[in-house]
Amino acid sequence: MERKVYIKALSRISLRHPDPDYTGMFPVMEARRMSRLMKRALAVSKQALALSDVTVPDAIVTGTGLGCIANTEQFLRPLLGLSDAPLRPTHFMQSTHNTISSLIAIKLGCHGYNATYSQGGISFESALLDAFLQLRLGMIGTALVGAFEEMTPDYAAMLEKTGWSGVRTDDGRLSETAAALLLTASPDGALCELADIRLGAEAASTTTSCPAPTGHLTRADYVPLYGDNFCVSALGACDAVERVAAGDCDNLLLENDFHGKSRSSILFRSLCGR
Amino acid sequence: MPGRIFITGSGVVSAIGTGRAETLASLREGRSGIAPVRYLETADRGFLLGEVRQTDGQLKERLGLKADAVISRTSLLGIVALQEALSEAGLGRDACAAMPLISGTTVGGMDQSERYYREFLSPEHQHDDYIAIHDCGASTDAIADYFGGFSFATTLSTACSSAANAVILGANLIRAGRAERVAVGGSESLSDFHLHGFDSLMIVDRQLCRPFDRTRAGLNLGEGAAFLILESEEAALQRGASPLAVLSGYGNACDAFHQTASSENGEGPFRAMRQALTMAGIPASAVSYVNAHGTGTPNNDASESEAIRRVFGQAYPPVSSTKGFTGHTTSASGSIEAVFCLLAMRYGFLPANLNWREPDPACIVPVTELRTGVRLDHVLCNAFGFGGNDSSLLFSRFA
Repeated sequence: MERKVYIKALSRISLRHPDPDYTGMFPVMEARRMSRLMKRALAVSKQALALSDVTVPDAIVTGTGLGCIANTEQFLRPLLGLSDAPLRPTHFMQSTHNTISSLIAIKLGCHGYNATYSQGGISFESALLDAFLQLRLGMIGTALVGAFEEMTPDYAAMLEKTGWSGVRTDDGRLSETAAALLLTASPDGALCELADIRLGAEAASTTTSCPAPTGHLTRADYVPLYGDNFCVSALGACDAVERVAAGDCDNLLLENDFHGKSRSSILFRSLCGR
Repeated sequence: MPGRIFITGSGVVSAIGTGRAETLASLREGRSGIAPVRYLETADRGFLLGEVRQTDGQLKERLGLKADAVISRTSLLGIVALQEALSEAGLGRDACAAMPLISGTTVGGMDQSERYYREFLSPEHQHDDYIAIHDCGASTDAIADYFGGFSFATTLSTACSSAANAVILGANLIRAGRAERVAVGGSESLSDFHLHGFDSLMIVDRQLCRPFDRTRAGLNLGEGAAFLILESEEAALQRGASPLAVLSGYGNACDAFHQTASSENGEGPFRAMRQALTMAGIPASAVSYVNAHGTGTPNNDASESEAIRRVFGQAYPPVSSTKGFTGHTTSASGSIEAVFCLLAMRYGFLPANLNWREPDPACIVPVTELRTGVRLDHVLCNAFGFGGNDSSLLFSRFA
């Protein structure tokens, strides 16, 4: 059972990591039907796979707090008489949270394990935990773990009404996340080890597997960089992986205390000196 | 070889009853819960729905919650089901604090959001509290909070296979030694949003759904919740808990074909069922009953039938869809039907596939009349979702 789990590659789009040029990335007709979030999800997934020389992963696991909220709103508005647009089945089809994970599977022809988690600020960590367990159990050898969050002006305003800040930058840009991590059971060419991950009340117990981490990252570090959204901790995780891979620290604890509602902690371990 | 995973508690609420006793009676008496719209706030009253016959207010009262409690119907139904599951397992608040809660939902708080959405968008602050309960995770958190909190809570959202996938994560947590016991299941309330969503896809039948029938023309939507308590064999025996059944296998595969349609050869369902059998180490011929996903849509039932034939050959075991009782309870269907399977195994009967009349060459022929006095050793329970998120759970008699 005690198999180890490694992170082999990552790719992300954020306020600080601009979108790639999508021209020619998707067939024209298809691109028209795809939301920004779906384009981003496919782009970072493909890049993480390319960087790790994996064509089809054994599992695709996704975290998203709100799912395809733009499509959801596009279906909800006419339904409630807030718009004269007709109810379009495409908007409903592409409004479910698992639209993204299944689109990636369709594009990759991946019949493997496929799941989507939607647990507020620990959606990404839930997806990561699922993949981590299956790798540890030897059920899979590779997993593509994604965190995808889009923000709409309406939803940003709603969150701001409930006391959130950081959903928008000063110049009005919305905080969004698209991140993909490729997890493997093999240390070959890996960036670091994913040593542990805990959710909720168990988050505090990560420290038992590593009493004195040499590196530490919290929301106070990454939210000022990327703004705030349900999946922003995935961008924190990407930073953590890069720091550990660069040899900044032997091990790094990433802690996410999300609006006092949910918590998680992830321990990354350096492969230097192995 | 890891220890077995026991099911030591189960709870259910759907259109055919609140709790196992009412549910069992309805299943045995062939009493469907599908009826014209009564509770859902929708402008179009022409739909048949499998509604839980209690208003939000009645559910709150039943649970001892204040009438103005800010909580979604998804959470209320989830609490009702989880309460029964914990009670059957003999677990209290202390046990909850030490175990994870894994739920599945897609609607989440949409039933409330569609009611207050205009206010959400206005600068006024009436009903702002409901914004925070919109997302899926918040609906699970509210369930957890009612019981004083769990060690952690998380939510699967893979459309109609959500609850089945919650069972799978829970089982993996136990197998990996991360938990001794877990509460797993799903909850889904009806909303105008997904009723019209399914209707826009032209897969809602305005007549009673007829799974696997030649004339089938779509599904009836339903709602409800169900939870199971899974425990490691060791932990269950240690505290003297009696197992209802063993979760002996499970499979999750992606059809990877289309966002809302199923492949003709049923690749996803085929793989999910095969994985479950392989994990359990039993031949297909050992399966006593398949509770099919069987929504009543032309596409799902043909695809699932093909997958069943691929797994079992022409001599497939008795199959029935119970959607004619409850309607399609979407995200909760995986756990609701899992409880039906456990009841069928315990009381030795096969639930009927209601409303089936004419065979369809593309489909399996289901069990159309209640069969009693049967011994069920291994029961397969299917739940398939949009996006080709297909899962299958295998329950085996405790011996």
